Amino acid sequence: MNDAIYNVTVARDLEDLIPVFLKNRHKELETLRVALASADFEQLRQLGHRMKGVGNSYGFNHVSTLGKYVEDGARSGDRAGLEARIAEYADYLAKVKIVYE
Amino acid sequence: MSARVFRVLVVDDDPDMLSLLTRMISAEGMRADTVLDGDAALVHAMTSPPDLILLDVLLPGMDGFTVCERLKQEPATAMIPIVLVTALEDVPKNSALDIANKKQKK
Repeated sequence: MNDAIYNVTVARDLEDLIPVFLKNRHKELETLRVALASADFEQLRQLGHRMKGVGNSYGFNHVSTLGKYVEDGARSGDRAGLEARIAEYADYLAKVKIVYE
Repeated sequence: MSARVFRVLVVDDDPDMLSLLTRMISAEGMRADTVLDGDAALVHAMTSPPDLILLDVLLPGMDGFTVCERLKQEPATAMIPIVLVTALEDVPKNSALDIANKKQKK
């Protein structure tokens, strides 16, 4: 994976919002795992859609990219693809580095 | 006398989006009021009409298109500008906007 995706630049005046944002992304990851385990594709689609909207808005473009894959994968019922994307999301959240400017 | 503050009603079920939009609106010297769903948006807009509404489309219960349609039907809120905020790539089939578009094309 391209290492550049792990480096995110966020406006300094949003710095205090980022801990809550990231905490919510970790919660989202757990909810994705539970939804996949129970094959709840509607919830997976909704979560993917939410990731797509919120990621870019905060400057975390890769969250939006993964969100689109999750949303599309949920629509087509692609369980293996969803599993891979959720693993990629976990890896991303573990490695992401934020620079405030 | 203090200047009247421009008021924006933000409607979104995602708390991260509400926080971000509220921050951006406040930074511009405007006041943001926030609600989490369409029903609350209608009540807020009727009882305390804002100058602008930022409206998410996919909301729990009533969707943003329906909220928009209801607000435009009410004389008290019909003139309030509404900006739809969404990550949707297409207009959902049979949504209020889809139906309105089809009517317009006929």
